[in-house]
Amino acid sequence: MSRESAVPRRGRLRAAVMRRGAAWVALPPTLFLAALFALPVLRLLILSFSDPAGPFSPYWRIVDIPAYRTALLTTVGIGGLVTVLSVLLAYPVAYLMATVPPRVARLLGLCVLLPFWTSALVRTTAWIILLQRYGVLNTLLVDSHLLRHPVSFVYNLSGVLIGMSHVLMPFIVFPLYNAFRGIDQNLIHAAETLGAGPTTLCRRVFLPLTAPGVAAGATIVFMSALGYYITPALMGGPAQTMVAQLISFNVEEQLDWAMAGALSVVMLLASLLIFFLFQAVFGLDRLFGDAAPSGRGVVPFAVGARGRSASGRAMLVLGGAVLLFLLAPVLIVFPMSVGSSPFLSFPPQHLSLRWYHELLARPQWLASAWNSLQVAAIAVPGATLLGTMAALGVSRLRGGLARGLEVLFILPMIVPPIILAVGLYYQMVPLGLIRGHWGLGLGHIVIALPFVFLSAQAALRGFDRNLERAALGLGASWPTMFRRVMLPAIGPGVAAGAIFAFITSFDDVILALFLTDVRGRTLPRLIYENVSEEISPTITAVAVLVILLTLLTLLLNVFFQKDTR
Amino acid sequence: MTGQNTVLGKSVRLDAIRKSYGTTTVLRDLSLDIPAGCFCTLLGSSGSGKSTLLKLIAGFETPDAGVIRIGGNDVGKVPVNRRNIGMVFQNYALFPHMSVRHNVSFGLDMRRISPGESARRVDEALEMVGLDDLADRRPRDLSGGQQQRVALARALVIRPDILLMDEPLGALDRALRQTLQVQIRVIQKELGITVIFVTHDQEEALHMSDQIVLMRQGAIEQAGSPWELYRQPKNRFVASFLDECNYVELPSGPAGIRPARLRLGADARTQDHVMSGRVERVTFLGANMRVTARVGQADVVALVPTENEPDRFSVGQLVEIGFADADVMPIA
Repeated sequence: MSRESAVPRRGRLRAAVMRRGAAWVALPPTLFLAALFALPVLRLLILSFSDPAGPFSPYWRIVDIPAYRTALLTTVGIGGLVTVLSVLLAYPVAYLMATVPPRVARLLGLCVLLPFWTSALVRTTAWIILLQRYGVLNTLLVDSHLLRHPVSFVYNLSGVLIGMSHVLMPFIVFPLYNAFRGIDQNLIHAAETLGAGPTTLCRRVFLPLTAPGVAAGATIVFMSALGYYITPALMGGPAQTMVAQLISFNVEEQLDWAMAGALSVVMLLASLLIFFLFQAVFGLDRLFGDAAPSGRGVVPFAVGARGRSASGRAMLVLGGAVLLFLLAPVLIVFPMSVGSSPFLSFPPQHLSLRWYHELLARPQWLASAWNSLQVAAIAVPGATLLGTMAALGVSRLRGGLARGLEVLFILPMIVPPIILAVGLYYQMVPLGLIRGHWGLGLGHIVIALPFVFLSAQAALRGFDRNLERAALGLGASWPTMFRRVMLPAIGPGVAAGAIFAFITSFDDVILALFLTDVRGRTLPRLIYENVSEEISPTITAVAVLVILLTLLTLLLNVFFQKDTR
Repeated sequence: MTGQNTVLGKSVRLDAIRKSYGTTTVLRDLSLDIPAGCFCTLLGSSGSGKSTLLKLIAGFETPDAGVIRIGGNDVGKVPVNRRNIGMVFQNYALFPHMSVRHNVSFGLDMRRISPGESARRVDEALEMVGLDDLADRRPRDLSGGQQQRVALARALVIRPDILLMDEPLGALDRALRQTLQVQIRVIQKELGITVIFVTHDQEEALHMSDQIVLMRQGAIEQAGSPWELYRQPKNRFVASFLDECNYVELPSGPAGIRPARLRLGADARTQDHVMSGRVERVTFLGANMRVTARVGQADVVALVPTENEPDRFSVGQLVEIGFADADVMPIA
């Protein structure tokens, strides 16, 4: 009897040690981010005080020189406009998603996410093809006599606003969709029996109840918009120069590191301020959280049996139009890529695979695609491993330490990538890491880690701790329990994180611009170099292939998630 | 709010209502008359169609066939927000972003009642449900019972033609439920409003109603006063739904007898009908004891007063069971 009971007791003891010890798995990702995220960013900040003319001289110049002042105001202005535009565009889509059957809603959700996950360069390229002076939209408008002369939609403010709202909108659509889903059908019924018509319902019930979701999304959009670099650089004109472009300009053209550092400090402070405000007001859970309705008798909001009102139908049409806006650039490259004309005319006159042949004929495209895959081969396993360890560690901790680490692991998403790129560049050049793939690979681990972390964390939250206790109680050691019980449960979440890590690495251009040389340049960097000169039809063929790859990866994720449902 | 005994409510008349979802028929040609000022309870288990019927009357759904008349007017074409109906939901459905006062005044705002008048009526309604001191709280700061009283005030303040209540007390604990049952009934009588109340709890239905409509599979099994349903059930389903019931074969035909009407032991011999059985189980219930006895092939359940003799009956004991003709309920 005593022998029998001694075994589980020793097992329990070891389990307790292992359980407490499990928090230490957060250490490697913490050290990694300290060395390759916190340190380079800090060094860049310190550089801002290293100007020979005095420690604060770059800051004075930001205030004194009109070009910098204007850029700051432009950045805030564009951020604000993009936020407003995104809110206005997100409402009809979220409403549409909330009022169709869940299966259709998931499909629509994929449509909203597709542009978000499609490479920034592919999207931007497609928009330019659509919007430029002799582009698709102008051709259609002039041919149908809606316009007498073509209008330039791109290389000006409208180009920047279209490009940025297009990609940032999902941040509002999803919280808003959740807010709509969280509205109890009985609330609508109650308001109706009390005499409220559609307008009053909208004004006094829908708007106030969805406001927190919108505010949460809008904050994220504004924060991200402040750090935008690629879209304003390619789709805007000189008047739309944003701070991120000035940072790059100071590093690459002026070699003025102090100035770049000072601009980074300003931008970083703004981003962090918004981020911590967000955290204080909404809590981190709102970042990607799901506010599903809960409680007894709560029926999620849906269209009633009496059908849609006239305004409901109008919202539906608007929602459809916004979805078209979201998908247009992704769809347009397909027909454009099979036209034979070198002038990107629409509709394409003669079908040909000429540009695909050209693509294969030029070794640089294949070489850069191969480079991209090699970088991803470093970034994906690295981010997956470290991100999962981070989530596991945080789940074992309580209180301030847990919250602090949580912020650290999300922070690489918050800090504008241009700051990280410049900081890493400054740190890696002396180490010779820019040659080869390790520099960029490590950089990509930093920016992909938050995706794995959030995804694994969500999976761990859904994991019933009693399963773990049951396994340990049945005599399993902690590693055995992890392998046989916990890992199978959180596996799909980790896999989803790995997929997002891959897309993040494969699409990144900002880090690639700084952390690769000509021999190591990745596909996005090569596209960027091509697009900033002129858009050749070969690009459309590249875009098609990249979109297909993204789509395939996203479908892979849907497949993984289906397994767990 | 108004003088006593003034009938404020309107009558409701349902004529051959039919409703199905896909291939499932939820209501089959249901007809029902609810007089003005009546407290009518739709009683039934889940899936009986009682909630669907309520939704049709409220106007959240449209019937496939049939006519709904409120106060004599066909409301088939009238949208929900013009029906002048008060509705109370099981989960309260209070607007979370509004204070108690603004929740209650919402319906008055819709009717463009002047602010002065509105404030007076809101105060009156809150006083009626005993919440006048909580007017500036948010719903989430109230208990379940308080929230449901706010919902009641919100529904009543618009002086509705009828008040619909969908299992309003289902989420509350027993003691609170009983208090609110009394309170709702008092207010209803005072205002003279027509109430249609949905519940699956037969005790609640018996306590509160003027009229009980027992539903089963989309049709009315029996409708009538609580006494009628309890004492003159049309069939075994009705008899058993309202309370426990023993079924016996008498020379006059099949009959039901409530456990509390059975006499055991010495008391049994003086009754009109006497049978003999063996005690199988004795359960102490406080004031009463529940005695299960085997009579022939069937179990008979009797409810007898405890009377300071908890050991009056023991398992295995032979016992005589009697009942009076007056307590027999003939069942078709």
